[in-house]
Amino acid sequence: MSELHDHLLPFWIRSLRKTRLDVVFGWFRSDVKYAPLEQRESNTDALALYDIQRRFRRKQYDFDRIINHSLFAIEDLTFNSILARANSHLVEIAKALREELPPELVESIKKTESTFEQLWDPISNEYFSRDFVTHRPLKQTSIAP
Amino acid sequence: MPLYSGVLTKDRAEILVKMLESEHIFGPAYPVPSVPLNSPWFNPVGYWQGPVWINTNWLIIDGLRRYGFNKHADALQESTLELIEKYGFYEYFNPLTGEPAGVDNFSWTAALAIDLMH
Repeated sequence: MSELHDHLLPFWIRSLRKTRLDVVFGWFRSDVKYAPLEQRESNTDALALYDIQRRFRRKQYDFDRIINHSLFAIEDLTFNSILARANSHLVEIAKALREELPPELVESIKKTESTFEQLWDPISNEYFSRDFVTHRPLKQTSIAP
Repeated sequence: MPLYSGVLTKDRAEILVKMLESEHIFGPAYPVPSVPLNSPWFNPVGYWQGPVWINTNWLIIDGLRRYGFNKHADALQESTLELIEKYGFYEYFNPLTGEPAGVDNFSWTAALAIDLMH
């Protein structure tokens, strides 16, 4: 993760990594008691997650305030794939129950499907997640495409 | 993963399936690696940097079936269950050797193994 988003890492984390002091943080990690460190997130990634958690808490988990400042905010391909599939399940459930979905929800479902195509990169011939603010594709191939 | 969404055209789905077939991208001995083999970030035991995860394989198998790629889905299902049969309910696996990594007795590996067997 840190390799992909190095430019977005907070200054204090980049400094710890540069000076190799992030290793100190590793001494307090409980997850490495169960698996070797090389099989878990790097210390830099773990620090980034800790930082995100602090920011969310400071903003009282208010979604609008969280995305207002976009550090780490991306439009994630895997998340949207699962959302699109969940939407189609929801439509089927509503049909089976003979219930009508609220119009704004139907609109939102259509929007998810149509905007999905914007994640397609015709040059690489694959889908990518993209930056939430700039809409720039994050061109790192992973299992997500 | 977009295969799972079900909102792709068949043409797009075919392009993605070709990536799964390629032994230089997503088709090692034990597919599907979380990062392609030809990526500079690929690490067969690095956390989400290459290993095979049972939950993502489950999503891909479902997506393949949805688009009618049943042979691909069957092959992936078989290799996924082979990993579990050989090594147990580990968190993730090395896509090159099949060796387990992370923690043992991982609940979603166990839960999805039951689903894949039925």
